[in-house]
Amino acid sequence: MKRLLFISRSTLPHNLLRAVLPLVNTPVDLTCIHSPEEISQITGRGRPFHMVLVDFNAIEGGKTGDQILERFRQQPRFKESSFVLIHSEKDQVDGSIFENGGFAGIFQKPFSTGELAGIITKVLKGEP
Amino acid sequence: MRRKKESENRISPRKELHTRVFFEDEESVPFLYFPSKDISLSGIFVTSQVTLQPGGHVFLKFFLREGEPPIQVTGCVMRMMEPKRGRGRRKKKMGDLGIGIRFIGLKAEDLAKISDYILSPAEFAVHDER
Repeated sequence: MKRLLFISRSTLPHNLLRAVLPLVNTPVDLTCIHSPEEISQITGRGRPFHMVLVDFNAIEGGKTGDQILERFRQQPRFKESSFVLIHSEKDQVDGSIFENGGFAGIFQKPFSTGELAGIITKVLKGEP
Repeated sequence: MRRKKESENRISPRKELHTRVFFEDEESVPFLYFPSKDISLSGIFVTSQVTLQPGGHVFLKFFLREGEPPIQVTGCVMRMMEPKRGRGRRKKKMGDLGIGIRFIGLKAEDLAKISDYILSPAEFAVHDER
């Protein structure tokens, strides 16, 4: 089973993402937190996460992609994780800051359920 | 005694509306969208491939007409329509899966807009705004 961590300051997207998971082509165990600071509260005996979906709203201002990843990579369970950033149009995100920092993809909300399931499916398969 | 059709039991008449219905988060930022099928004064029906928990609340945004401000309203998931499974495992065609959502606390001005839309002589609005 693939493990997915979703980080979003808002709670409603947690529930919506959970509803979308049946459309992903592989079983996914989803964990949701509201900020990177909550990583220490994640249970699961240190089992690795295959993918981390980060909402821009959960990122402290001014942080670059590599700064964010560095924080996660310090923990063994995130060493091999693929990180994907999602953001809204009004966030005006410079995607290159995150791509250069090691993020596997940057995508703009909102999504259709098929689009979101497709993103997760591709990342979990290791496709570019 | 004749059994009433389901359509005769509806609280308010429905009219086709083909637009994107955005499901927003607590900060009014759209996260997902679903295509709508029809709308009434009491709610909206969207087509969906995912199921949501009946009774759950969602924050909606959608456009009735091009060029007009969007309607933003809280909704309550009322019913899921899932494909019937019968003999031969015949699949229902796409568009028959869906979520019925009841409006909660619709603003008077938005209620008037929807009413006007439903009563307007045009057959249905088809647009796809973001």
